[in-house]
Amino acid sequence: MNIGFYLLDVDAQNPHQQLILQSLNQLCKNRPYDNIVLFNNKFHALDIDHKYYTLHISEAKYFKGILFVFDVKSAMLTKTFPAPKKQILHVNNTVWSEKRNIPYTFWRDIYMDSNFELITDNKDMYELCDTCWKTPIATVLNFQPRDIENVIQKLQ
Amino acid sequence: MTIIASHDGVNNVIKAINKYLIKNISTEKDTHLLFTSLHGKLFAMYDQHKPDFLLWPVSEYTQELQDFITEYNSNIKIVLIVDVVIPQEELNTFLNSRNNVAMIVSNDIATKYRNTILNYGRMYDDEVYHASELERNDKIVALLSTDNDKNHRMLDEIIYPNNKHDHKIVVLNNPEFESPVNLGIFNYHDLSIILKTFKGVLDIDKTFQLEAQVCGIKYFDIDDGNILDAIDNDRCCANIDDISNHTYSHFVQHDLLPHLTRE
Repeated sequence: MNIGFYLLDVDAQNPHQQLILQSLNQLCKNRPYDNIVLFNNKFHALDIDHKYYTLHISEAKYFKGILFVFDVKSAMLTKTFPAPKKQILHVNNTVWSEKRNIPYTFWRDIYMDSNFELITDNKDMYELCDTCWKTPIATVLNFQPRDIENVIQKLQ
Repeated sequence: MTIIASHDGVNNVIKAINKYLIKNISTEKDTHLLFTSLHGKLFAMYDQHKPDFLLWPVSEYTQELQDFITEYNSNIKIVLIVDVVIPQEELNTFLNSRNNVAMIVSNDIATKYRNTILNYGRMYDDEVYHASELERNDKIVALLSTDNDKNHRMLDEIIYPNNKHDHKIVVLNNPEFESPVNLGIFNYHDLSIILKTFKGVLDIDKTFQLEAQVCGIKYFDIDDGNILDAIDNDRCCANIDDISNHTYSHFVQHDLLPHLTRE
C-alpha cells in the first residue's frame, strides 16, 4: 500500500512536524511492506535516521495512494492532484476564523472538496469541523502511528 | 438619437442597474449607452459625446460632478441614483433647486426630493438568484449585521461554544465578529451558492429576503429575537408576493428606460 505525507517547509525546530516524522518512522516499523513516503520541499538532514522514502513535493501528484496533508497551503497545492486515491487533511486549528476577511468560497473549496477527508486533533476541533464543514473521519491525538493506521483502515 | 452616459459605480445596486442597461439598450431604437468609470473624465466625455442623460450614484458624488451640474444646466439631465443618505443639508437644497437634476431614490432614504422621478426598493438579480437545485447541507447560516453588538446580542448564546442544541450554525460576512464559526465574507454572486446549499438562513439585518426566497432556502423569522424557537418550529417569514417584479431587470426595462428614452 502507498501512504504519503505531504509536509511543506519541514523545520527541525517545529515540534508538530518532528512528531509527524517520528510517527512516520514508527509506521515504517509497523508496516514494513508498505511504501511510506514523505513529500517535502527541503532536503536538509532533518531526520538522519529516517526509514521512510523521501521525494520532492512535485512527485506527489503522481502518487497513487493515500496522501496526508497538514495545512491549507498544502491543500491548495494538492487538491487538483489526479493520482492520489484519497487525500486526508489534518485540521489542527481554525485558520478560517483567524483570517475572517477571506471569502467563504475559498475555505469551502478546500474543506468541502470531495477529494479530501478531514481528521482532527481533538474533540473540540472535531465538533467545529462537523459544524462548519463536514464530519471528520477520525480524531488523531498527537498523530500517533496507531491513529494513522486506524484512519487508513477506515478508508479501505 | 438619445445618448445615455452611465458611471461604472462600485456598489451592487449600481452595478446591477448598469448591467441591465447594457443588456436592454437598443440601438435600433436609436438609443446609445456610454459606460465607463467617469471619475476625472466627466467634462471631456461631455465635450466629445454630448450625452442627453448622465446616470450617477450619490454614493460616488464628487466635486467634479458638482461643478458639472453647475456648469451644464441645459441640454443634459443628470440622473442621480440616491443610494445613500446625503448628510449635508446644503447639498440637498442645491440638488433640489436644480432643474437639470432628476433623482431616483431608494425607499430606504427618508429625505423627499422635489425632482424625484422614480423610487426603488429592494431588488435582486434574477440571473444570479434562481431556483436551480444544489445539494443542501444540514447547516444554518447566519448573515451577520454590520452592527457587531447586535450580532453578539442575537447570536452569542446559540453558536459554538455556547450552543446547547443540535443545530449546526455558522456565521458569515462580518470580519469583525470573532468566532470559530465565522467562515469569512461573500460577494453578491457567492451568496447565491450559499443560499442554495445551506438548510436555513438567519438574516440578522433582513437584507437578503428576496434572494433567499428565490433560492428556496428557509428564511427564519427572527423578529422577536427568539432564534432557537424559530428554528425548532420552522417559523419562517411569509413569502413576498410578485417577486419577479423585484428584479433589477424589471426595474430597468419597465421603470428606468422608459424615462430615459422618452417612451
